[in-house]
Amino acid sequence: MADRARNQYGLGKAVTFNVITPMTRFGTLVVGVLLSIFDRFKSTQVTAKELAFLPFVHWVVVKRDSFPRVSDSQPAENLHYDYLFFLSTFNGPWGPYIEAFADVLYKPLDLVWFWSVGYPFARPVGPLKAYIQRNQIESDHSYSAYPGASVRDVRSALELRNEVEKLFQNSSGLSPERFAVEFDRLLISVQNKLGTFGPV
Amino acid sequence: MLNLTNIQGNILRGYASFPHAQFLFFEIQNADDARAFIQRLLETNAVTPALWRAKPDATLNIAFTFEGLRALGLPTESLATFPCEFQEGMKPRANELGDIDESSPEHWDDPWKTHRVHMLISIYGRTEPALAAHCQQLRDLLPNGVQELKDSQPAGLLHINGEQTRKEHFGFLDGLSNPAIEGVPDDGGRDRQDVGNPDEKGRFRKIPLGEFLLGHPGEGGEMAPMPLPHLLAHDGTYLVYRKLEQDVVRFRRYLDDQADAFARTIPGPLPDGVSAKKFLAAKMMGRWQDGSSLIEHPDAPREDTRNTFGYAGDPAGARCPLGAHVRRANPRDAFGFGGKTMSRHRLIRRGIAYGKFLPPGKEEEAESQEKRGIIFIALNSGFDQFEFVQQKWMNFGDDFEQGNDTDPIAGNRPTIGGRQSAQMMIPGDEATGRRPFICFDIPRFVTTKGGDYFFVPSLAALGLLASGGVDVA
Repeated sequence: MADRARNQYGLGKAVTFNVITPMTRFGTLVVGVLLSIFDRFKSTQVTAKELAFLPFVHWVVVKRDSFPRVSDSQPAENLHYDYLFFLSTFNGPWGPYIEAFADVLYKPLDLVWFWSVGYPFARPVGPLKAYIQRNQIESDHSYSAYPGASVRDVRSALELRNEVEKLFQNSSGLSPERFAVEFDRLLISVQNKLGTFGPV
Repeated sequence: MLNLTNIQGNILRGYASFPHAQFLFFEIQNADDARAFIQRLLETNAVTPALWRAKPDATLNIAFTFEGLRALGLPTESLATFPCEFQEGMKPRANELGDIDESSPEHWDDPWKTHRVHMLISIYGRTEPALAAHCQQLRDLLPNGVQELKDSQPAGLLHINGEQTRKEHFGFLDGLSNPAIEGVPDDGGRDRQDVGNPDEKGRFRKIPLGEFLLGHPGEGGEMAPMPLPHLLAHDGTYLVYRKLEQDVVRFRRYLDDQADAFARTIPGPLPDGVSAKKFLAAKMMGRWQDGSSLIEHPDAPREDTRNTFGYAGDPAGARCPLGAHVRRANPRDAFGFGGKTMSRHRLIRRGIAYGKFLPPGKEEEAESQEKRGIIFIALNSGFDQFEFVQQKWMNFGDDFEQGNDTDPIAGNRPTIGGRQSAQMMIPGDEATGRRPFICFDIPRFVTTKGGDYFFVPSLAALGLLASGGVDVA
């Protein structure tokens, strides 16, 4: 099991989260339509992005006859269901992640997962947690380019870099007094993006 | 249905008018003796419920650790249904709780360092003689098979300039904000300041009882996992006890060292009665020492302890820094989403100070070496509530845009990713022209000196425990 990346400083912040649930053919049809609607109207994605403990969330449907085989010699499985893969990474502990996700995004969760066999609805969250526990698959490997960075760390670092580069470009030839004013402006624009970061 | 005569006292309402306290710790060596002892306390109405007919001179309440319940002879079928945090206790969870370095259990005080406490009896008195008499009565009742562990812990409201006060040792008014809970009668006075969770409209709503008491619906209409049998768990709660030593000299010296540099970020003079040191202390705490909120009163304290403020109108922390202690401990509406990402992480706090207040100017004298701090008591219907606040909000800063940085007052100072996280950003204010200020190299001000996780049964459950008749089947 390797749900988190690790480097010489410690454990990465993002934890992988994979839930695989069976669906009927009709469910596959409906979920396909729903996911294309979510793709077109971005409100679910926007909310998911605002939940900054989520680096990544992805839904994908794999039909019963589409599972890959390592080679032609591997016998094809005769599956009774199509499968919905929920693939995600999150920062922080498992329980509060599911609670926050279910409390904030229960509508899209229910719409998409309703078609999975045995889905209990997102609220109350107790049965949902039990359902996820039964269907969650641990990762054998996980890779993270920046294991010490959370979503907020990455966003902050990008904005900080952007602002510093802007100052660098616009500051040549400024008087010391004028530079001080510009530097203070930079500092106030990035003041909440300067926390320490690194693996935990 | 709320049965206040079944719930132990000091849970839903605090013992505000009992300024003196003593915490006594016991090891149960003989289950029969311990059960007879509890039975005797119940028969003499010694255990204080949440609702009393006549106000007593002193109160008494009982709680058990997991080892204590085992020593009482609780069957394994029941023990196995308690949450794993409780089964382990606080010491083995030191890493998760940030009890590292000076706070690690090998440096704790007794009885925590050498023993596993089984039973906690908390006695609060309206006067010191009443407290002493009550403690003596209890000790007289002790059977051979229940051994008191040394040292018991005295605590009480501080006296500053000869006056009894609710301030803690760093000089801040404490216990100002507790959760407002559905169905709990308003006590008239201080409880009115309690504040619930924010709703979609940014108003505060009361918090369901089940967040703090077992057997009742909590947030989302759900019940916290209940140990079995239900009679044992119903109306009970989980108590976090932590002895937190405060280094007052270090705190004041740090403020002294930083005050001049901080003052240079402030344009113009400070209001009368406000020094850069006091302003900096308020920024770290998130409130002025007199309890007024930085949100309502960003420039000067106003002795205003109204508590229904929010942080949504101060997203960059120009008034109350994002990493300030009170903003971390209860972020209110700061995260948006109608409070849904914070609503399951609330705690009732019943902390009380220990040791004598160190008057300003006495930092070099012998009394500065005395031990002082706070007995931190939190109540919740699952230890995950406390552990989330401790791990994610006190000892980590990501939810507050503070990266790995820890709480400036109560946080530990871990080395993460090869760097020590001991800094705090005090955001500037474009409205007043105050520039941002970074507190670097913040030392540890608060050190854990002991503690454990306790179960506080209802009075009916105490009767069940005393009868020895706990039967899960």
